[in-house]
Amino acid sequence: MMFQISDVPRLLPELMLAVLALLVLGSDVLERWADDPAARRERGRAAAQLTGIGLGLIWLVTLVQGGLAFTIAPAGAAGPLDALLSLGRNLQAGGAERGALLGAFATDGITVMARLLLIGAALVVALLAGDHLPDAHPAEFFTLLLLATLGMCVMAAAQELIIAFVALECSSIALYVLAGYSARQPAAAEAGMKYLLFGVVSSAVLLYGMSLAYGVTASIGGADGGPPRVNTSFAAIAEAVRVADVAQRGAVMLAVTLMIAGVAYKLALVPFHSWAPDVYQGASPTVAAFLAAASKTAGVFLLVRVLTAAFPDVAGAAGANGFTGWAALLALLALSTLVLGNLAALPQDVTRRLLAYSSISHAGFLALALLPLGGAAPLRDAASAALLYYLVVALIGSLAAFGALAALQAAGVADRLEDLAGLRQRNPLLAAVLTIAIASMAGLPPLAGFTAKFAVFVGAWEAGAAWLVVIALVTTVIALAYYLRVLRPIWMQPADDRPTVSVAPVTAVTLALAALALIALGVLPGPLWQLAQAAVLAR
Amino acid sequence: MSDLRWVIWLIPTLPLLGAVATLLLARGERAAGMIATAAAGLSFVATLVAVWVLQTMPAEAARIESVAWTWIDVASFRVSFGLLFDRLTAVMALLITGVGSLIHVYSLGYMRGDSRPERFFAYLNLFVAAMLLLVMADNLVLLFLGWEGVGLCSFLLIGHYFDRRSVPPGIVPAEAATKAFVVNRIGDAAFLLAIMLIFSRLGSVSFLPNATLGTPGYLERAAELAFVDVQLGPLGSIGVLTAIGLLMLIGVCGKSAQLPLSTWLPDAMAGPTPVSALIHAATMVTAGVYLIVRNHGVFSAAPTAASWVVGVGAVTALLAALSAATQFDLKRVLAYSTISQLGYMVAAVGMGAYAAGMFHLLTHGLFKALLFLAAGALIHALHDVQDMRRMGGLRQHLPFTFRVYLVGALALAGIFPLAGFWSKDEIIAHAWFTAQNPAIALILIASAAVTAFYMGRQVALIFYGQPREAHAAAHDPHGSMRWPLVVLAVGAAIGGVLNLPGVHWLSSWLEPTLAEPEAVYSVGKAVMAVIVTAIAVGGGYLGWWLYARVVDGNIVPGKTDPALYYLGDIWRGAELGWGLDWLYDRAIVRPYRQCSAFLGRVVDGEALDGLLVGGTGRTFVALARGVRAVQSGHARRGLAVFLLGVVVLLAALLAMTMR
Repeated sequence: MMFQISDVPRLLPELMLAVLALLVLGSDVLERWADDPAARRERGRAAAQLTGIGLGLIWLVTLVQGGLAFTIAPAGAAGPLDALLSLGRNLQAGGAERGALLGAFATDGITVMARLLLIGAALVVALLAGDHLPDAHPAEFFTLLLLATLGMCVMAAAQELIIAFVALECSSIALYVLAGYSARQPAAAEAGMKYLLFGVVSSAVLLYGMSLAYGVTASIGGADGGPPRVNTSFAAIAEAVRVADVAQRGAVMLAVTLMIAGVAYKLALVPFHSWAPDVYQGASPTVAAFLAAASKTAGVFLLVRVLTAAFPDVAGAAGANGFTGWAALLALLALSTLVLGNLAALPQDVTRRLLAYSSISHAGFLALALLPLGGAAPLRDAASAALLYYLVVALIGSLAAFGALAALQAAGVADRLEDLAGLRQRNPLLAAVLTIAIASMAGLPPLAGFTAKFAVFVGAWEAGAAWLVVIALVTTVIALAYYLRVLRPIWMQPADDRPTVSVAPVTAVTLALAALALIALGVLPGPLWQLAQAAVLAR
Repeated sequence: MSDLRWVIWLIPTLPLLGAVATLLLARGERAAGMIATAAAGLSFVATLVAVWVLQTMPAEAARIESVAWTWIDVASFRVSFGLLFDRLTAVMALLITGVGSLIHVYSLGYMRGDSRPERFFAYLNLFVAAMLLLVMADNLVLLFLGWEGVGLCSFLLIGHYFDRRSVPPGIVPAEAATKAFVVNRIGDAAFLLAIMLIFSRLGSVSFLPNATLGTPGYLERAAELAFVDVQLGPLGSIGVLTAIGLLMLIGVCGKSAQLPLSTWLPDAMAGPTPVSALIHAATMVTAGVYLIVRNHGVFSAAPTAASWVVGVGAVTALLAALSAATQFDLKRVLAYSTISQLGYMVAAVGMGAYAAGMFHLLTHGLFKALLFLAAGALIHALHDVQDMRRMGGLRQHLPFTFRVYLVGALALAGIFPLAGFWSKDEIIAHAWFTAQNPAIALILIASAAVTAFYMGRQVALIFYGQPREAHAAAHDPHGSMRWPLVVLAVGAAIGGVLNLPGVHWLSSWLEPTLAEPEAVYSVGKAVMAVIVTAIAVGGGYLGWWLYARVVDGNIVPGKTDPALYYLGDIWRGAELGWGLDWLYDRAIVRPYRQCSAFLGRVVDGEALDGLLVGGTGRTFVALARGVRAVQSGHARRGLAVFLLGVVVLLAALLAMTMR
């Protein structure tokens, strides 16, 4: 692990995130000339705007540098846009093929995709949060948001145990604080505390697994007479696993299990989920949106990295032709998550708690989508693309749904299902956004959720886990029951004398765009599907 | 004149546009009527132009084909959306648009004061469009579209008074409409099977080879299959063409109200009278006859099917005529009469007398439309009285109506020299001399006698004898209801010139399409005609004399016919349409209702909805409560679950490794 100057362009988005975080914090420090509410609001707005603009810029840089969606043609005739184009050309040339930090940090298509998703999620959350700022220390809120994003981005690209763990902690610690940010509210304090407790335990479990994996690398080199070459890189672990004998395989599987359990907490897979409902309900809704969308996505990327880079040889299978390896573990987790997550969602009366369980059940689908990643090349690539597709759709859906709830809370609407009554009259836009987001989560065609679920089902089916696909289909039907429970008050109950709901323009536009994206991706899945495939193949 | 070929597209499109415009734009009775009538009239003009174009073509190639687009293209199943306008189609189109226009004009007066005129005229126009599509389609699938379209319009128009609980003589319009639709579906299903069989065995659904799509025509291939069988498993085998012909015959029985599917037509009289005239007398019900004529290649190569066609037609002609003789409702007489006359046509085309069948179709279209419209004028004048027992002696009050009705009645009875004489005589002569089937000829002659009898009876009951009820205010129609009657009366009187023996314009006009040998006229036929006419005159006079002179005083509103006393059960059976309704009610409708009541109450209500659906829901809710109980929100318990999860995963791992 060594930093080189040539790594700067390769790590550009992460570096920019770090710089932006410091900028937001620093500019706020310099602005603290008064402490009356008006001044505080002004400072908060400034921080939100700086964060929003900065994240938008970083997102664009990532998009151009990644070169997945488009490549800029080599230099041609000088035109009015040539300065801009050559900047883009430089950026694309800088996105090096080989990983940064001597291979400890992958800069492949998946990293680019992860950056786009995570930074995009942070951008949306920043835009939403700008309209309902936290009570105190707004700049710190955005700084923590940026730091968490930074941690997640690094996590998604890690090819090495220590970087992975540090990145995980970087994002987690920031999120602990964010979850309990409105510390004056008991629910928020409880949420932060719970999140911290579970996070600490899971970190311990994860670290235990990591140390075992590290220990396994001692076997390489020992066999051919040389000194043991202990190493923390995933490549070294993979090699050690490949040459491991039966006894060492036991340690390997123990390591895999503990690492999966540690990261499963990020995804809120059952039985590592019990923090999620309380935290989603207690934290501020924008933070809940960030947790449901970004944190979960980052966890999935970390699992993808660990499982495919470090443990491809113990992938096993979860189908008729065997039930072994981490595929089987994931199948078990997917099963328990799908069944229990959906069942637990049925009797909920609090909207955000209900969506928390829905988010848990989505983690089950993610586990299902991870299953085929240990398979052979064409199947694995298709499954990876399906996973990326699902991640994009789930991220947009979570942001839209939780964002709409955030807008509702900002307008003073309480959190129970019956408080949504007559929303179609009180605010048609929010009603439509919530409906589209929820219908997409439920997987109703022609929305994006349907295509995403379908792609995941196909992948898992072809990997042999047909039984799990059937169960997942059944739980989808159960899920429809509680999703409809949210939609019923919106459309079928009268508003009575509940007041109309007003939404700030930025929030309205953001949510509308998210809802439109869900429709567009459902009707025209082609472009995103090609993007996902390009990301998978761009090694 | 190939430049004017596009005009055939106007023929069905204009009424369709008229329907849309009437529905969307017209507000009020006058606007709706004007738009619809103009559309029908323009379509008639377009038909005339198309016929003129056709006339300029050489006889052997006298057809206009036009494919708009490929409608269905799945593997070898290619169907064009194309029209075929040949001489047969021209005849049908002239009848549809001509009589259709007249009936539109008549409706302007008849529907005055109706509560839903826009709807009425839009459906009427839509019907004309669908009927034209039916006769102009260049393939069976498109024909089926028109076939279903006219069925739909028939349903909609029979149910025009859907808000009335009952119309004379005690029919519920909504039920009558449903009955017509459902009975027609039986025929439609068989017809659909026939289409499928044609496609699977003959490889095409186009009548003629289609150059645009490159599909062959199935008609010219039909003869190749004359001795090929379809295997029916344990039921043995049947000739392909016979199967096709019989399936088509069932379709014809539905649409053209032949036995045993005839029961819907008498009830269809619940619709407004112009609808009865246009749809249930002149045009839609003749679609079955057209279908057989269009598929004459199939039927002439399938003698078994053709003889079934003849049998069904002849039996229907006689039984329906007997039923007509016993009715007291003005329109029901005409309805049974229509069934009977359709029986003539079906029998004729079954015997291969295609030109004679088409001739009778045309003349019947004229005089039956006339009779219905005149009946409508009567109903109008008597303020919705349809029961003939409440009429009588109306000759003085309604001289104009009397005269046109008499023309129609004489034409229908086949009295020289009116239209019906020529066409009916041609069919009977064909049965006796060409087909040499005396049994059929005798049945048809008997039917002709009964036909004359019931028309004599009807005229006597309505116009002669003592007025049984006072209708002081009754007056003849005028304006838009009057002159369509005049035109049709002229048509019914001189319609015979279309195919006079020796001149036979219609036969030679249709000859290139039908390839039917020209009828030869002999002394024998002339003698036959004289005998048949004498029988008809005798029957008609008998009917008139009995009801105008003999039992005149015994006709009392609400009481049975005096003839019941002499004929007993036969009369009763005829009056009830030979008990078909009763049979269907006992054999099909009631068991079906009981079965669906059982399925709905027990199987669906208790088992499916109660146990399966409700039970599933309750199960999951109960499961969910259990899950929720574990999820308490205590951090300590949550962490315990967390660590337990790790342990469970390790245990699972152990279990997998041990195996």
